Amino acid sequence: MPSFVKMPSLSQTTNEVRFIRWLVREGDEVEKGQPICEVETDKVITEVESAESGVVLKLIAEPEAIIPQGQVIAVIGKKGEKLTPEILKEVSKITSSMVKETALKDELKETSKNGELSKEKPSPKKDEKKILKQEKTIEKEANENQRKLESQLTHMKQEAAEIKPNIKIKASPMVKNIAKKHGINLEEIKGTGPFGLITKRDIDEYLKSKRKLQEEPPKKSIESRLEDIDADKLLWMYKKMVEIRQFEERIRFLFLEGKMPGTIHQYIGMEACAVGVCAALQKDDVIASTHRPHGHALAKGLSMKEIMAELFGRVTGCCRGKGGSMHIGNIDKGMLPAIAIVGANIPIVVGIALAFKMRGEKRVAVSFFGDGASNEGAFHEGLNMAAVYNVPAVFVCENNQYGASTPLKIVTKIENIADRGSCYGMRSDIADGMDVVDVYLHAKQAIDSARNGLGPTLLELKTFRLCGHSRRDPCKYMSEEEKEYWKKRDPIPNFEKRLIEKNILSAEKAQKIKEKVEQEVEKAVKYAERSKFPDPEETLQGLYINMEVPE
Amino acid sequence: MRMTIAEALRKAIHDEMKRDKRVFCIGEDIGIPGGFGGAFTVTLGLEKEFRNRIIDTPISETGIFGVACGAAVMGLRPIADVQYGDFLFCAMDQVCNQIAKLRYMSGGRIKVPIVIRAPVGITGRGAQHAQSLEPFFLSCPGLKIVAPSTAYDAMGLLKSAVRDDDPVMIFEHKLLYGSKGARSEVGTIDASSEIPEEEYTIPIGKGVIRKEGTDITIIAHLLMVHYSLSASEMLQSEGISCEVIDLRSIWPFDKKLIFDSVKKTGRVLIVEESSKQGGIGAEIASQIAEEIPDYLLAPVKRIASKNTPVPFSPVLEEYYKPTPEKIADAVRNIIEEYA
Repeated sequence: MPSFVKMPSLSQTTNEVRFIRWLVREGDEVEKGQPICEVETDKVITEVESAESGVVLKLIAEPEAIIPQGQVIAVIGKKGEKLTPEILKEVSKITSSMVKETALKDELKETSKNGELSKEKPSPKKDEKKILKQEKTIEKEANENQRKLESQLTHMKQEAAEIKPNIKIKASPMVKNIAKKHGINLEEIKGTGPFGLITKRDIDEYLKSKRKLQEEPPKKSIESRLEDIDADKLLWMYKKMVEIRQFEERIRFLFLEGKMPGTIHQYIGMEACAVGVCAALQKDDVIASTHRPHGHALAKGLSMKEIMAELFGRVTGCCRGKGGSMHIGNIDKGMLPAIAIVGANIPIVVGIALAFKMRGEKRVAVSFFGDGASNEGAFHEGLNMAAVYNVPAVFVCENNQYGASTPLKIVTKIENIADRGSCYGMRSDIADGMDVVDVYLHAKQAIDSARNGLGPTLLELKTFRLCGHSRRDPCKYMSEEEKEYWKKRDPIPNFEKRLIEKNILSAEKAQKIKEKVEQEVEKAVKYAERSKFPDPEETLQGLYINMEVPE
Repeated sequence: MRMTIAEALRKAIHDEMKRDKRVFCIGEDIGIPGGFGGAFTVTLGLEKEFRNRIIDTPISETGIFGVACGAAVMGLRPIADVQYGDFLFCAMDQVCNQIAKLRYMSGGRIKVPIVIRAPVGITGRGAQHAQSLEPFFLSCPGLKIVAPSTAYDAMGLLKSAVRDDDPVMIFEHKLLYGSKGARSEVGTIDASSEIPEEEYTIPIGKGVIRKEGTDITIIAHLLMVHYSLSASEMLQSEGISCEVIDLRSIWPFDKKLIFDSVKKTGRVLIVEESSKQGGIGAEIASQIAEEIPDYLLAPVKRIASKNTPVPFSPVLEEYYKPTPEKIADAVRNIIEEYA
């Protein structure tokens, strides 16, 4: 007779394990001591070894099943032994008893999940069905059990109503154990395992992100020193950041009042990124932006008036009212109309830089994009080509941690987007996107390298939106803790404090700058509101150069 | 001098690169020494003379058209190509969202002078290397689309495309190239022309009457022009006189030439190699029906490929696409029914 492999005792604190997967197949020969499957106890993921040598006749346990100690999980025969009807019958008996047990469990789970009684019996598998047919006694027992179960369930239902949040969570014993140890509410974690199961990796990631929020800001590879930058530049950066902040806050208000058409994606909290990079650029360098372009446009030198008028759809706007918020740009001031398709500006910037290189011009092209763009094909094609052609470009990834509402960490396995640079043979670097000085110093290094023929850089800026993704987004997908953490790192008050400490700025002067900017924003709004709408027939202009739009 | 379409395109690119330093080529396999000179030999050998302006790329269609777009915005004049038109789908965002729209989005501030070259046509390659993609781009404002059916036109249209400040797509037919050696095609039709010494261009937006006639107007482009001419020869002996119009420009198409012909014949058959659904024929037919219905003696008819992907087997391929015989039959039916 073959031997029936039972689940050994693997933990002193629990007699159940989660079955992960088989490491052998039916028909395989196994040696004594050879690992045959992987299971997870409340502490570790471990392998179960075969107790003897032979051939695998039947695998019984299935992935994701919770298996008690002593449960038969497989049948192993002597070498050369075949599966016989007798053995199958034995297996069926075991599985049918398993069906009953799991049925009870499933039923309980279902109930607690839905909060109501599941009327239908679990449907047994085909071969199990046969056995049930043959043995009416079992069926009777089952009916008896079913009745008991139902009365039990009614009771459970009432209890479940009180403790339902915990019962809903699908997690292995090990994960539950870790959660208990760290006092974590598993509800806060999104499971990435099968059927939303919370895996060890999920809880590890969660703990890691929690730790990060408590840690100090990221370490800086270039020491961020104010002394390295002249005072005029520092003051310019301060004013630009204030401009962007006040501009965005004002248009948010206008938008909510219903005075502004369209949709808006705002840059509040990320000001140090655009300003730090643009502060290191020359006038004839060219930038390309995204669906969130207001900050880049102001930093590159577009006037508040031409941007505001464009947002209002007026003919005096930088795109004559044809672009709108997502396509702000003015090539005469070194900004391509913003490209609102995620990642799509990256290859275009490679082309702009290629033009500079082919003509022997000492100009640099900069692509701004978000963390989300780094998962677009255009990012990979563009970066590879930029590296191959060694073009004077800098790829600035503003990693604000979220693609709309989706956290980067659930759609990307690596921690730093900058790590992707090396895949293309490209230099990469990381700067603190909440510190304009750090951004400037890192961007300057990258831009200078590009200008001097040393090729492109992928520069990642770790930053955060201190506003919604678009329109009226209340950011419910961000934790309060996280928002609080980043709010403390708001680039503007922190920079202001540092400037005052170094006597570059005084509190009075800061106040004056803010007031001046406020007036400028107000003037821009008035300008836009007083500007004319384009003539409706202008719809037909500005498409082809030497041809009317055909009817 | 007599040239095939592949040779005429090569010479046109050569001439334009020589005339204007801003012109460069970018694409896959276009300038590798010992390579193919593009999938159909059009750029063969050009890298010897223009080492820095024949840019070989990785297999990255989004990258190719994105890079071409950026370079064009900065004032260069790229000629970007794909090995098979079908691969344009990989670059749809760059072609349709960026290249076609950037000028408009900028309020007319910038220009994007790109030439996009793409081989099309059914050639025993099944569903993903033999489509005719013209209709997909016909519905994208901002692009100009041309399709030469002879070497003479290929040279003249390519030069016009390079000199045009707007993005121009040039669709080339695999069975008309006349590519030689390892890159020659089975079923090739002779589309070679005598190319004059003196320089010339062919204006975008102008069609041409390939054969004059009085009973019916057949409108076609690329290979279908040649098939329509064969059909009209068969019909000539039966006493049916066909006027065959070669569109040459698909957008904008030569409305005046077409309308004048239809006013004369009163009957129209539009022939195209792409599927009938949403085809070029649909656009032209509706314009005729909307604007000059009173001149029609018969309803406007279309003959096109079936509304399925391109099948592989030669038997299926033959059933799938218009042939000279099918075109002749369609004409006979119209003439008989609406005498």
